Amino acid sequence: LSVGERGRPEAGAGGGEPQDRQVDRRAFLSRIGALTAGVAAGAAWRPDALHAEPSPDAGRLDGVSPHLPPVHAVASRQVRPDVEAFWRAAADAVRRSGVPATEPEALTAWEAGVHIRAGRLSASRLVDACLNRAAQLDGVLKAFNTVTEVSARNRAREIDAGLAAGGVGGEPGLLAGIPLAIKDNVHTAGVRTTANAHMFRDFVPVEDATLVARLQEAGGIVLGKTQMGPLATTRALTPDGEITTVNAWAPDDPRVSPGGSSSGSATSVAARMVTSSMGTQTGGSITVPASSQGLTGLKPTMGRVSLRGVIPLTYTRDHPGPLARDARDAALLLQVMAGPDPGDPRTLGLPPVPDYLTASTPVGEGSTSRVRWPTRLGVPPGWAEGSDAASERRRAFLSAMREGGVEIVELALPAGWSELASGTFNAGRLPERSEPFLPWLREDVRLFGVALSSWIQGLLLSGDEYLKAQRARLALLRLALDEVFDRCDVVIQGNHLAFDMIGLPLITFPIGFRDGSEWGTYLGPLPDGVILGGAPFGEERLLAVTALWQARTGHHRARPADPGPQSSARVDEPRGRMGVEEVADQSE
Amino acid sequence: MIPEPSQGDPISDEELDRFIELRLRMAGVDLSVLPEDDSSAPADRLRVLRSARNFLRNTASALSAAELDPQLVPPIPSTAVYPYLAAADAAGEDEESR
Repeated sequence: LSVGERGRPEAGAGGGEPQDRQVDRRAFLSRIGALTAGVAAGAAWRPDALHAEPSPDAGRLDGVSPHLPPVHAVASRQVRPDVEAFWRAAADAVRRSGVPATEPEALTAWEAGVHIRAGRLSASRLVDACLNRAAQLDGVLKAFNTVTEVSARNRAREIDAGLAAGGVGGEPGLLAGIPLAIKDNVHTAGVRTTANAHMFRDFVPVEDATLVARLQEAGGIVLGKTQMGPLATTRALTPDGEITTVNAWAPDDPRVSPGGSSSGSATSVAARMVTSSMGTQTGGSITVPASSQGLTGLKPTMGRVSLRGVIPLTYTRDHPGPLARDARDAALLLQVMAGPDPGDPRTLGLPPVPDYLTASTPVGEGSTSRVRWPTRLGVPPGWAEGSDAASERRRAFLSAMREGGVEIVELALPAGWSELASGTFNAGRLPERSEPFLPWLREDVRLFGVALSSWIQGLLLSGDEYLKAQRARLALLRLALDEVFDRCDVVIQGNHLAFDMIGLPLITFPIGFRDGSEWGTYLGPLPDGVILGGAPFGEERLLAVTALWQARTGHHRARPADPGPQSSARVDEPRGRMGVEEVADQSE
Repeated sequence: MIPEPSQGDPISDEELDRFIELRLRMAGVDLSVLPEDDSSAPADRLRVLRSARNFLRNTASALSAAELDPQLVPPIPSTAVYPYLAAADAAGEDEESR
C-alpha cells in the first residue's frame, strides 16, 4: 500500500501534503533490503580511489539507480521550493522580533540571510565576527581542527561583490554569506581532511564532497573543519584518545560530553563561532551532540544526502545532515545538500527533493501558531508521567503540540522492537567498517589509534551472523512501517539507535534545560532535547512539528555564556582520555 | 528472540585468543606490533584481545543464537537483489505482449 492510499484527510493549515504520504512503503522496504544485501555497488568512497571520479555507469542523475529499485509511488516531478515565500516570511519575522544586525554571530542563518538581502549586513562582516569568536574562544572549546580564515575572508568578499552586482541571476544563493563548519571526515578540496585518525593525518582531497560543493554553490562559506571522534566513533578525541572538544554549555568541565561524534560541529554552532554546521550520523552522531548543546539536528532518510566524498564508517548507515540553530536553518542546509548524485547510488531513484523551506516556516505566530499538516504524534506510555522537572518539560511539550493542532497518540513499541534494536543486532554494522579499511589494518593496526577495537571486532563476525543482523534491520523496518507509522506520523524516540539502523529520519531540538547535577557538581543549565522519528522521507513533517514548537517557545534561542578567564587559564591542562576498550564500547 | 547461547564446554581465554589471532593472521592483520600491556598506549595487545574476547563471548554468540521471527523478516524480491533479473523480466513481458 502506498501511504497516500489510506484516505485520511490531508488538507492542513499549510495545504498540500508532505512527501511521507506519497512514498510506497513496500518499495522502500525492498530498496533497503537491496542495500543491506550489499548490492549498493560502487560505494561512494573507496580507500584506493580517494580522488576517483564517479563511474559513468554508477547511475544517472534524476533517474533510477541501476543497483537499487525506485521508491516512487507517484510520478517523479521536480519540486521548486518557494524561496520567495520563505524569505518574505523570514523578513516579516525579523521585522516583528526587531533582531538587529549589530551582533552578526548571534543571528540564525535565516535572520542573517534577511539582513544580507536587505543590505544591512555583509558576508564579510558576518565572517569576521565568527572568525573573531573562533580566535577568542576555540583555545578553550577546541571545536576546530582547521580554521580556513584566508579562504573564508576571500570568499566573503566575492559574495559581497556578487550581491552588490545583483547576485548571480539576480537571486543570491540560499546560503549566501552564511559561515559554516564541516565535519573533518568530509572531503574539502585543498584542506586537510583527517577524520581525527592517524591514517588521514596528511590527507588533502583534491575535490570537495558533493555536499560541500553544494553548500558552497549556494553561497555558504566554509570557516573550518571540526573535531570529531576518531573515524567517527565517539566524542571528539585525538587519534590517541585525548579528549579535545568540550560542551559549549560546560566549558570548564570536560566530563560533560559535547556529544559525539560530530562534537566540534555542535560546539562551533552552540558557541556562535559559525552560524550552522554539518555532521554525519551512523549511531547518534548528529542527534546526540545537537541535543547535548541545545541545537536542532536533523538526520535525513538514508540516501537523501550524498555520501560521495565522506570517509565511511558504515556505508549502509552513514547519514550526513545539518546541526543548526532552529528548524528554518536546518531546512536551508538540507534544501541545499539533498538530492541525487551520480557518485552515490543510494541517492538515485528517490522521490524528488521537496520544499523543506515551506515545511519549516511556522504557520501563524507565537501561541496562535498551528501545525502545517494534520499530524499524529506517537508518544510512549508514561513518557510524560512523573513529578520531576523532566516530566514537566515533557508535559509542556505535549501541551504545546496539542494546542497547535497535533493529535497525541499513545503508542507502545511493537513486540520485538527492543530486541531488534539491541546491541546484539547492532553489531552487524561492524564488518562494514572493517572491509574498506583492510589495507590499513594490514599495513599497521597502530594507524587506528584508540579506535582499533571495533575494526578488529568487525573481522570476527561470521558471514551468517552478519546476514542475520541485516535481516533484523529489515524486520525492524517492517515493524516501523506496519505498526508504528500506521498509527502515527511522527514518533517520540528514547534514543537514536532503531532509526539509525533502518535509515529513517530523526530530528532533535531543545525543550528546556536540566540542572546538570548528574555530574556531581552543579554546572548550571544544560540543554534537554527531545528526539522525533519520521516515516521514510518524513523530513518535511519533522521540520513542521519542530517549527510549531519553536514558534511557541524560545528554548532554541538560548545561548551559553562564553568561557571566562578561568577557562582560558586551563587551555593546556589535560582533559582526560578514553582507552581502547571504552571507545569500542561507546563506538557508533 | 535472542535465546541464551549454548556454551557447551567453556572456552578459555587462551583458546579464544588463539582463535582471534589466527583469524586476524588469515586476514593479514598483525596485533604483535602493539605493546603487550601498556594502559597509557592508545591500544595494546592485552586490551584489544580482551575487548575481542568479550565481543565474541557476548555479542557474536548471542547473534549466532538469535532466531528471527519469520513473519517479521520480509522476503527480499530477487529483482531487488539482482536488478538484471528485473530487466530480464521486463524484456520477457515485452516479448509476450507482441
